Amino acid sequence: MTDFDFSPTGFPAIFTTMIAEATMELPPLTQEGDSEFLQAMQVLVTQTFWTEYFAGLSAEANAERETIVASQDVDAFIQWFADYADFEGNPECRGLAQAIIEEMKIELPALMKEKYDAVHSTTVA
Amino acid sequence: MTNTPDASATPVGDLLDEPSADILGRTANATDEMLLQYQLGLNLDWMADAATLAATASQQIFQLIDTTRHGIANADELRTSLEPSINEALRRVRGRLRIPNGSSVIPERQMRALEVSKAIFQSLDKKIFDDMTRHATLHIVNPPNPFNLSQFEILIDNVKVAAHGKFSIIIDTRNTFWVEAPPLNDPAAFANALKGMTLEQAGIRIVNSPLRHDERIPANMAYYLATQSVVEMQRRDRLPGTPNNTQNISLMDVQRMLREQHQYNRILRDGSDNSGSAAFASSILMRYKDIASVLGGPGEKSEVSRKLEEAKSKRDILALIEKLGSLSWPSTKHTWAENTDIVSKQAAELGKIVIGAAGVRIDMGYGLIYDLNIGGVIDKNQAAIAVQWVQEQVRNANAEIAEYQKTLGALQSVAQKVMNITHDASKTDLTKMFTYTGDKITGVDETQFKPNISISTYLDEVRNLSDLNLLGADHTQEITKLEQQIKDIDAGKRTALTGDAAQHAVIAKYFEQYHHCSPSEAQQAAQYLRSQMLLDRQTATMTDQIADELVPEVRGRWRAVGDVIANTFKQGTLNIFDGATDRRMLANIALACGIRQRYIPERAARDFRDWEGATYPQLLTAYHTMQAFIEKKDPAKVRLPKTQRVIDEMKRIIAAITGKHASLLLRDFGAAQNITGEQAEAIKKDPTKPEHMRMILEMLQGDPPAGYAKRIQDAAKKVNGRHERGWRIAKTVLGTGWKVGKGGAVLGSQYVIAKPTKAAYGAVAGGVKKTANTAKGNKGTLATFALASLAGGPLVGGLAALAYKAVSGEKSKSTSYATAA
Repeated sequence: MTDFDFSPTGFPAIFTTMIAEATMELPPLTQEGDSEFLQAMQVLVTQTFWTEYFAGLSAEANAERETIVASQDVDAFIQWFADYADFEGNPECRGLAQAIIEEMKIELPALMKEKYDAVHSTTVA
Repeated sequence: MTNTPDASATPVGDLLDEPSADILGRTANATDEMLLQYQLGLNLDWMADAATLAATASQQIFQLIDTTRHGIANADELRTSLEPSINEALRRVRGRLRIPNGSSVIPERQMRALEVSKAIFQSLDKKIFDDMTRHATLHIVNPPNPFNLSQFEILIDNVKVAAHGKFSIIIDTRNTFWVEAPPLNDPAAFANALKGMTLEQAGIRIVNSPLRHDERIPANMAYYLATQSVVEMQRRDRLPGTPNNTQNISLMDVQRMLREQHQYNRILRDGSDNSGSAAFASSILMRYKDIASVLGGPGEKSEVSRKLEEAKSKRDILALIEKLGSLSWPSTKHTWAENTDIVSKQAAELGKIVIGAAGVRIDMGYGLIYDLNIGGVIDKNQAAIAVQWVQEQVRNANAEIAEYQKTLGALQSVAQKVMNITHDASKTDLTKMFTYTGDKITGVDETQFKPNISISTYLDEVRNLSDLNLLGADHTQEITKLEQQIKDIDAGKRTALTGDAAQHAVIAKYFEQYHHCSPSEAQQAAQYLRSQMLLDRQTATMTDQIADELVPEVRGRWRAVGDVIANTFKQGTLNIFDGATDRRMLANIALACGIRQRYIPERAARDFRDWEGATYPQLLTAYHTMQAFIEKKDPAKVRLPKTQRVIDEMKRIIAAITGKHASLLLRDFGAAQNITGEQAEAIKKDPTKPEHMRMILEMLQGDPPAGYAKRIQDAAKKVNGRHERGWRIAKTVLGTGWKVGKGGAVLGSQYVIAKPTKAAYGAVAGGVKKTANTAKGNKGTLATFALASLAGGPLVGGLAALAYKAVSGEKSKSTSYATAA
């Protein structure tokens, strides 16, 4: 399994690097709308990670998170992440995050190609 | 794939077997060379111990910024944050020498360069970084000592100019005057432009002089500068470890390079959101002059001509190979060496014929045995017959040799062509060519000689030599295409590349030419680098925006945090996809009306639209298109918010019309507004008079002339199109259910992982237990993840920095700075 960098500066770079690698399979991104396409992919990839991460946690953990979100307590929310999403300090959290990212890396090139074709078929005009 | 090592760094190809790893290794080398060495002027020993490397890198960066910007506000903050960031980057490299696909390895040297460049990028305020990469470019004036052209010092020792004694001036060439002024090869015009300005306007600072910065430049000083053919420029960017010297360079050369760089920047930034990639490509063009031809235009012809010659050469080689294939190959199947031996034996064997012997046998070796058996002793008559017989055999043998010689001539011709293409004049030995059985030309081992190699096998090998790239293209078609391109260039029909396409072409060519990538690898490397630069920059820009806004609030209530996240994310996202922000819409309207747009660093607004240089129809169309979008009336489909930025731009349009086109405005609107002839003359005479300005404004408030309806319609259609395109892309990628909401983007039903991946990570999914001791975790990191989960997307980087600082109680990272001018 790859040892990804989950430090504050390394974490966002995982996603940008992953996307940039996947673009190597695409035609040159020099057409109008291609920068928007890339940025939309960044939203998609990052959001997907969190969706999958939460989905990978126990129902109990998610219920706790939802309660905190409803309570609008920032400190409690950060504490929840200390409990369930401490990628640097908790090997289990890191293991789940790494597994999701590994899976995303495998699937991303094909999905990106599909999205790229879809975008260009709707933006030819 | 060729595995020739980069000249600039540790060989990558030899160490890697994963193609993408190889390409990523080369992008690391490129980042090291162009960004760190050339743009930032770093001179680092990458394999020094981490502490030393971090200290040296941060010291060099700090000094460069300090000297090129006349100091930095909050210097201590930068000084204390840069070194730890680089240290952290180096720590990440340790024991983690990988990047792609989790299986391949990038050597430590490249990894260090890559990580340190990221750390520097993330640590610096983006305004400073822009300034360093765009305007403090270290042109290699005198390799290997880079010389910073952003500012330099000239000693004025001319008696007439320095009437009160010698003094120095510091010229800040980031001031646009030095780019836009008349070229210095016309000193009179240059001096004329300079003498009307204040020192400050021209980016000149005086050291030890009675002149004040707001004084106009005296004529004799302007002329003195304009006619300085060579000046001794004192290095103001001397970095630790670099020589302390001065350099002689003509001011004319400095200006030429600045103008060249400015021109490249303009071409590369045109219509592109990827400013980091534009700066990178601009540096490549300044560093490697031969790459400029890929941009097209006049410089393109030489490159197209070169490609044409190459295509013709390949066509000729293939024709030769075909011709060779059609040659009759001697039936004896002897090798060239054997035939040569036979020829040399002919005379000796002929001498062996003995008159009077009973029959003659000539053994030429190699199974060539000629018998003359006439059943008795050879007499003189018979001898004559025998000689004729032998001569016939010799003719036959010579004919066979001639066949070989024809083949030899053809092969030599091919060999010569091949060698011309591979640029290796030393390898002209046909034997080496002929006996080669591998897939490369160079380094042939003669022990690999195969006596029985057939001509067809050889020709197939030549056809398929990967270095020659003979196959896979229709050369005749390519030649026709290139010849047409040259005709088009000559006829002025070829459009030069700009913006994203230009960046991609330049960077790809750079990888191909200077990092030994094949064309397809070069395309991939350019794509990777450009994509990462765009996304990193987007993340970093958001970082600064959020850090400034949210830090004071983060310890407050949830609502405050949530609102700021939501609003910032919404604005950021709208800016990306919707195009409905004032800044983006102004740019789109100007673009639709054909207005020249430039980046001018001295102007706070950053975007500069050249209304003053626009034509009257362009100005009128732009003004009324803006009005249509402000009021969201047909044909505008989206509203342009009437912000101060929009109001200022409209004022500039009015000023441009007033200043240059008042007569045309009166022609079109005067009658409708009941302007009398006398009033019209007064307006023309002094259009800036307040009452005249009011009348002009009233004229513009009216409906545009009938002839402008289509122009406005077309411009609005383009602006609408860009707005709609952004949303189409967002919805196509993110799903139709996607929307911007409080708390960030809400995805539709389309995710990267099409099916639930729990099976893939079942072993860990659901197995995450509450962290036993949270004190072990880094609170900054945890807060990062917490807030990132709220917003997602481009905000993650921003939130990372924000939360890290918020939890650790640090101040905003925003580092203000003092401008030179």
